[in-house]
Order: sequence, then C-alpha cells, then structure tokens
Amino acid sequence: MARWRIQQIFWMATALLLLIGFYLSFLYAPRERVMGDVQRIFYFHMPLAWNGFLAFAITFVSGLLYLRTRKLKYDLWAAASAEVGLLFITLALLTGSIWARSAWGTYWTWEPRLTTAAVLWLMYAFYLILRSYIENREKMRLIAAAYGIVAFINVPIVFMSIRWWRTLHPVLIEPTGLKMETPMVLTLVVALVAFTMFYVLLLAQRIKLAQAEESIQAMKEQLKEA
Amino acid sequence: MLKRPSSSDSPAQRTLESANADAARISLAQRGLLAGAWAILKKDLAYELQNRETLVVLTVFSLVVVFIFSFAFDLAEAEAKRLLPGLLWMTILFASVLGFSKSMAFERRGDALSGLLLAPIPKEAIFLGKVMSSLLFLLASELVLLPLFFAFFSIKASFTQMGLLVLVLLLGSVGLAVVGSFLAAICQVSRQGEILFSLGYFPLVIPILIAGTTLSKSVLETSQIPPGPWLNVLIAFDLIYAVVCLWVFEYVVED
Repeated sequence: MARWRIQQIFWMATALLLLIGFYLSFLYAPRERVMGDVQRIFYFHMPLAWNGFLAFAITFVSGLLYLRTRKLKYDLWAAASAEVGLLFITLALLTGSIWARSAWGTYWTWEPRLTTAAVLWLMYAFYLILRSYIENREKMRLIAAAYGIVAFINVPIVFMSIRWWRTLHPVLIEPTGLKMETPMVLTLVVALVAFTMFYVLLLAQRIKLAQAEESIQAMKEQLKEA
Repeated sequence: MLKRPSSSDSPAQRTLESANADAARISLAQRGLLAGAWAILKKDLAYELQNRETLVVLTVFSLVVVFIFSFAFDLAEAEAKRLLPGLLWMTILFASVLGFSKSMAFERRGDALSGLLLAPIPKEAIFLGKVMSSLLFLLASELVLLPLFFAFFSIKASFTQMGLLVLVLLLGSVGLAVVGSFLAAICQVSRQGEILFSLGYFPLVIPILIAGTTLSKSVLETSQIPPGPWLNVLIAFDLIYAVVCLWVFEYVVED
C-alpha cells in the first residue's frame, strides 16, 4: 500500500514538473536574442540527451551486475534502460537537428557530440535487435550483458576520436558558447529534473512490463511441461 | 564458500603459500592460453588450406571492389590520392565482414564448437586463436588489395610511404580482428548470425575507420605519421578491446 502511494506521488510530481517545465520553456524563459524562439528547443533537447546517456550507462552497469550475480532483475533493468535510452536519444537527435538547421544552417554535421549520439543510437539499436534474435533466453541475457559492456566502452573512444579529427580541420561551424541568463538556467534545471524523473518513471514501467513478460513465459513453459 | 585457513598457520606463511599458488596458477594458465591459442590457429589454418573458403572469397571480393571503384569514380591522380584512404578502409571493412562473420559460424557445423569448449584449454585461448587466424586472413587479403589499389588508381608511393601504410593497416587490422572475433562469437548463437554481424560490426569499429583513414591520408600526402594522437588511438583501441573482449568472452560461450 505504502509503495503504491509513493508511486502515485512520484507520477503526479513528474507530471506537474513536466508541465511547469513546458510553461517555463515556452512562456517564462526570455527569447534568445540571436537564435530567437528556436533556442527554446534546447530545454527539451539537452535533458533528453542527458537522460539518453544516463540510460545507456545504467544498461552498462546492470550488465556488469548481471554477469556478477546472475540475478534476472539486472538483465531486465539493462534491457528496459536500453529501450528507454534509445527513445530519448532518438528524440534528442531529432530536436538537435531541428535546432541545428536554424542555428548552424544544416541538419547534420560531424561534430563530436552528434557523432557520438549517432554511434550510440546504432549500437543500442543493435543491442535490442540482438536480444530479439537469440532464441535461448539464458544465453541471450549473458550475450546482451557482454555486448552492453563492449558497446559502452566505445563511447569515450568515439567521442575523443571525433574531437581530435575535427580539431585537425578548420572548424567552420561551431556551437556558440551559451551565455545563459538566470531565467534560462532555472528553466533548464527544472526541465532536466522533470525529464530525469520522467526517465525513471518510464524505466520503472518498462521493468514491470518485462517482469510480467517473464512470468508469462515461465507459465507457458510450465504448461508445455504439464 | 572459501574455507578459512586454520589458525595454526602463521600469517606470513599463509601469504607465501597463497602467493605461490597464485603464481603457479597464473603461469599454467598463461601456458595453456598461448598453447591453446596456437592450437586453434593451427586448426583454422589447416582447415583453410584444405578448403580455401575464406581466402578465396576475400581475394576475389577485394578484386571486385577495386574494379568497381575504379570504374565508378574514374579519378585523376590528385583526386585519387584524396579518396584512396577512405576507399581503401571501406574495402577492408567490407572484406573483413566476409572473413570474420564466418570464423565462428563454421564451428557450428557438426557442433564443432562444443568440442572446442570441452578442450582442456582456457576459454580465452579459443578467442585468442580466433583473433590470430582472422587477423592472418585479413592481412593476406590486404596483401593482395594494396598493390591492386595502387595499380588501378595509378598512384605512386615511395618506400617510406608503403612502410608507414603497412604499419597503419597492421594496427587497424588487429583492432578489426579483435572486435570481429568477439562479435562473431556473439552472433553464431543466433541462426541469422551473419546478418546480425554486419549490423553490429560497423558502429563498433568507427574509431578504427576514423584513425585509419586520417593516418593513411597523411602518409600518402606528406609521407609521415601526422602529429596528434592518431597512432595512439589505434593502439589504445587495440589494447582496450583486446582486454575487454578477452574478459567477457567466457560469458559469451558459457553453457
């Protein structure tokens, strides 16, 4: 009962904070002088990207824990987090492109963060494909954990490579340093907290769903044996 | 659970004993690792010499790609020099997909993999052996590929340039072989392993592609290794992935 109560409160707090975040980003935060209203997408883009990275980090840690302890819950965490992370990274890439078209004049450029996000997207899309392509579930969990580790250590290598690669060339398009005013910072912080809570919420729901899937699977196998 | 050592042993003696035991275990494991890897390599080479599956496919594929590229681009020498590094590494990547995706898959025939796993060698030795045989096949195909590229695109290269290019190719190929062998081990579990392999392979080796093309380009243009961390990126990639893949491999093949 108490647990149900806490979940309810968390749901409502997240919804409220998201609404406040929307209000702040669209109405409260001042209009950016150079970029105009397009800049407001930043209050969505940055929290989405941050949570995407967070989600994949959690997949990595859960994978390690699964290999260590072999507890089913860690594998479910890893899979759920990868799924939610892929959603967030997709949205971050989309919002980023829309912003970049207006600010840099192009939808896409091989900038370190963009490239890292794109590579992340490809790797974790593969992670999910891998999970669905391996029939033996026990084997699949081990392999997914191993791949999750190998994929995650690629992230810093890709990021650093692109950064060096770009600095060797003349940089034509550069993200302007964000000198933000206090209302902007406030909006960003609220949006960041709201989206992180939203991530936790989606993760928890996805884990619940995965647990239900697992128990259905177990029941099916029992029926087969009977 | 570990048994607690009896209290009559002195702590110093206990430390010494466990250190000795550790040392003995490590040296045995290492010997087993290298000897096992060597055995796997010999087995793969013997198989290849009989069937010539991988080498023929790799060589013919390289020929086809060089041929098609030189048709499609029809380049003057200056342009060719600019594009060659990218084309060269793309060809190597595609060729390596052909070579690597089979390196574990053919162990499924007649359940040969179970036999390998039952062999009295460390699991890591299987991985190491597979990396070595994959690397050898890839290098062999590069040996054919490189002269062809220079001939078809009529590029002149000095002795130093060739030497440096070979060094870059060698370092890049080690990383490709490590990642490729790991992914091949993962993908052979699924029935659609070879499709899976090509999906998972490219995102993982992007750092090699970037460092490899940048280095090759600079070697062809200025005939020296460029300033900056590129060679270190390749070396670091090779080392990091060798260690991590060696470590997680046993989980991948676990029964």
